[in-house]
Amino acid sequence: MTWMIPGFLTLLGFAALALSQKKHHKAVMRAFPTSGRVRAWQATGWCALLFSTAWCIQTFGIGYGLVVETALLNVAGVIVALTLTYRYGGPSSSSRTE
Amino acid sequence: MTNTPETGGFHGAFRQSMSWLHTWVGLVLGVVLYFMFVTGTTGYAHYEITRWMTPEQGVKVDAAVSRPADEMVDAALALTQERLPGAPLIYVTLPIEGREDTGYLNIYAEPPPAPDGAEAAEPFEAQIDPATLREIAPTDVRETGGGEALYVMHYDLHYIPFESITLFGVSLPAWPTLIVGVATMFMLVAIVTGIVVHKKIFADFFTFRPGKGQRSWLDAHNLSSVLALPFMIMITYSGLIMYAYDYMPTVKAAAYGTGDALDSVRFDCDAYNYGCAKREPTGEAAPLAPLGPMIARTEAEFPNDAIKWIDIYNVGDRAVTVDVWPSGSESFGAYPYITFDGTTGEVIEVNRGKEGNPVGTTGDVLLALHEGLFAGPMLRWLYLLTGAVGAAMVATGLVLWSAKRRQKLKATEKADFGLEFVERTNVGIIAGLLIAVAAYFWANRLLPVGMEGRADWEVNVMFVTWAAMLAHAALRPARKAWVEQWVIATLAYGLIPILNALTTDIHLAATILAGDWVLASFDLSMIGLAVFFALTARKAAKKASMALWPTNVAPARTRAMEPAE
Repeated sequence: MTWMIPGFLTLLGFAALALSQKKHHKAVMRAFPTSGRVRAWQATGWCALLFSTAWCIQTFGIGYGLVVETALLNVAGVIVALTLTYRYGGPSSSSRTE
Repeated sequence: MTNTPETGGFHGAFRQSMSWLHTWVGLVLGVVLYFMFVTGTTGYAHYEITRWMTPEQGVKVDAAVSRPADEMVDAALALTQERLPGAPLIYVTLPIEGREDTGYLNIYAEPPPAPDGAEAAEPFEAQIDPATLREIAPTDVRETGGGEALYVMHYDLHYIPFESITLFGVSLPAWPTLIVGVATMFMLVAIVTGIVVHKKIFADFFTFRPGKGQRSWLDAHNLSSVLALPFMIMITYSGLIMYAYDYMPTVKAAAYGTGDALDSVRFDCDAYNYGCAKREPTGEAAPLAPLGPMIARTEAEFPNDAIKWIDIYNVGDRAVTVDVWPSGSESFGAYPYITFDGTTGEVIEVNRGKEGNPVGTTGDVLLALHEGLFAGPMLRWLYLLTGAVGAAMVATGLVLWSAKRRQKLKATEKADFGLEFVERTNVGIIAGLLIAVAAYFWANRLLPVGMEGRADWEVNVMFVTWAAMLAHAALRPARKAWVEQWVIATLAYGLIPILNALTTDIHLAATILAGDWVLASFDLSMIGLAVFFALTARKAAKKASMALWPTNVAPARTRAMEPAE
């Protein structure tokens, strides 16, 4: 649990921040986001990242906690980016069917 | 950011010159940096690697078999007394659960100063089995460099002699330290210039568009560097700071003296928070008090930690002091310790590490961040992954250099020598080094036990393999060389668990059944790496229109004919 929660939160946070970007939203949701949606994804993303930071500091102490959080951010970012390639909706592959 | 003109104006010119610097610094130092990232990253698992490379230790579930700390230390002192009588300086490392646990009690003792003209004796080094308190003979456990030799390469560069040059009475850093320092300094330059050059850090934060040639390599390079940027800055900066006193020797010389006049006790204490209460030997003999009470006193002071290190200075002299270090699990690298008067057993000083001097503590914390010394298993996995991302960043940067130039060539144009050279050496550097590391593990299992200079030969095998891979890449067209070397890497890593099962009894089935996850995770990681390299090989084969298997001949197959996901 000590690792699951901040790990999940960083993944969620980065995934939400990715979805707040037009091109990723289009690729995943097949439509450009409305400005309200953008703000909602941004809020979700930043809140999740803040919560995970807070959780890490609370659990591991300020020093160790910040290291853990940074490490989780590194890895979560890579995971989110690689997951997005699964449905990268670039111009050449936009007609791809499932 | 977006309205900055591509060329012209101050910003354009500035960005262009930064881009030039980034490109060429990266290309020239890429080899050293890639080597440092790959071998350095293994350091986060160097204990696990050493366990695997000494299969004679067998399967272990817990470390509860150790004798009490004072019995172990007494055995270590008795052995040292027998083998190197009169040793004035003895370091003992106790095997306790966690990082840097070799599974043995380690002794290092310095020889007494030699009488005039005579040659000084060799330092005494030995390992003791914590359960039986018996010395480990070389025939018990194969001689190996282990995980330590592998990660130490990233700063001692192995073959380059560790000799320092003296200039105007000030000793400059040793050659490897100097080379590594230059590479690290330029790594910082590459990081900063890379940030300047990268136009859309936030817009392209998660962007990775595979299958688009040069664009994909740029994406991969950006992705690996931006997402791991905090790690990159930390690892580079802390690596540089670690040798700050070597790189700026005059500062140390001015404040602490130089040569024979160097006040090393004060320097070690100020810079590393280490040996602060060490005293000058008096020349008057005195016996060492029993260590049991000193250990007990330290355990009482730091109830959450087991005793990890014991340093005894001026053994046999009235001025003998004993530093007892707990494992410092809560100290973030700035380890606390207690100094005892070795003749009476009284406390001289309780050094609380963190609350010690700020300079030493800053250095300790940076060092700990660099080495992940404080990290538990989970965080070390993250360190490993991030280190691998760092290696990937250097590798993709190297490939990007040639991909960019290849893309610019017109269909009829032939690549010039420079491009061909970089393309081919890239294969030998990037895939070749990974194969060489696998060869290091193969050598550990296949070189005869008891062979003269076995540990050295393990490393020689690694570098001979790397040289062979560089030669192979030089002789083959780059696209084919990529495929072939990724296939070799797949086999080299994938067969390690099988080789292990054939040559030892710590095979995967045994380790998993016994629940020894340290050993099991090594074999499983090898399989994981093999899978990753296999996928890479498949990708490279597609690009080179090569069939990996003769039965799978379908060179004309196009993307459209592939089954939909």
